[in-house]
Amino acid sequence: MKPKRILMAKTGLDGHWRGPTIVARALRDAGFEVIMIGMATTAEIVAAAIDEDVDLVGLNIGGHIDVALRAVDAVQSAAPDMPIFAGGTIPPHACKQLEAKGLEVFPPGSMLTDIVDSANRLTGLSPAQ
Amino acid sequence: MSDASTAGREGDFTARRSLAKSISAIESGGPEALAIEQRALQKPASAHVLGITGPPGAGKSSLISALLPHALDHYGAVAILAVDPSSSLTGGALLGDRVRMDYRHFDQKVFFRSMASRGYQGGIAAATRASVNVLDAAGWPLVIIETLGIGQVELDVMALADRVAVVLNPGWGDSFQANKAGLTEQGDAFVLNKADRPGLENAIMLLEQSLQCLPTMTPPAVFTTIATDGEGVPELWQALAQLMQDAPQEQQNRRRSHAVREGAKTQLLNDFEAFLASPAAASPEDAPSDSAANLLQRFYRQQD
Repeated sequence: MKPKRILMAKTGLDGHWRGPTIVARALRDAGFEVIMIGMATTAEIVAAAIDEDVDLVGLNIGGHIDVALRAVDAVQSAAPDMPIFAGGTIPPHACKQLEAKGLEVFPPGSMLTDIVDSANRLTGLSPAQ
Repeated sequence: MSDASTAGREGDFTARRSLAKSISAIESGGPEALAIEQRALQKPASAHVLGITGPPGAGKSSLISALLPHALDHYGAVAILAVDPSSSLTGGALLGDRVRMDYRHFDQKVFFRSMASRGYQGGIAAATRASVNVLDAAGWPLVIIETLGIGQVELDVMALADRVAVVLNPGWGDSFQANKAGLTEQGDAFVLNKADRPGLENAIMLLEQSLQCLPTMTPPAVFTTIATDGEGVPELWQALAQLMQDAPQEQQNRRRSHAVREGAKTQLLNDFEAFLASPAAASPEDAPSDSAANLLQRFYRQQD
């Protein structure tokens, strides 16, 4: 079976790495190829998602939700079939905005196993809920 | 694959995506992968291919990031294939070469693809060769291959690249390491990166002594760099650009004929595996006397 590929990017200028690093490790251990891009602008995230031909984009969101929403719009317009999920210190009202765009969202307190399950579903490795 | 020759260079996501997807198809292997590469080989090779290799943590990615603006000035557009290892336990991989990149230099003129080794043992991925040929056919004038962190013998990149730079660090090894077979026999340029670390003078001396024993008229040069602040990088680029300028056309032809032969080998292996799975491969009644030679005879008879 060909491994599925996931892009892990940080939107905005928040410099906390521990969250995305731990999530990337968990996804790696679940058999995914995880491409770390780190802090990136919207254009950089889109270009990376396209070049890397990923099956899923993971956004670590810290700071302004508007920046994250722009990144989501840009990815969805460049590659409408590419699913996105998000995690990080995201307040409830921002979670709702992201979910309204079709994202699965993992705010603080989420379990790694749930994130891995979500990655399996979104990349078609396990059936959608 | 839409016409790869126009794909990927114009900033149109459709074309760019189709180039990226052909590389995914190559990674998936099988008959489609072979067909894509053989189609790309219809065009004459024209890209320069630069290999960057060395042990884990030597600074290969950081050095590529530092070289990139120079490479863009010189070639106009650059494609990078960066290989990292897959886990032998889970098949997963953490592909972290992009983390070292300075994205200020990234635009539509840079194509960057992270590649997991997926069990391939030669320091690159099984898909790297065909991907180089597809990028070449798509018009990318320079392809940089970053190997995964290698030990001493994972040197498949040598068959693909016109020129290879080996990246090491001060304190990398003593005179015995420097004189062992493998790494120090193969590079066209040697780089002691993280040159601000202790032990630089000694490392230069050991490396130069070892390189002087090579059966070449002029031993490869040793450069010192600090990739993260750019020190020594312009000088290194100048030398690499010159080396690639001087690389014999013969090397490009060798890359193509290597690809044709490897493609044929893969095809043969696929056919043989299909044969093994078929009833024709079954041993005749007198199974104990069956042999590899007999099996092959049945295979070739079936292929005729």
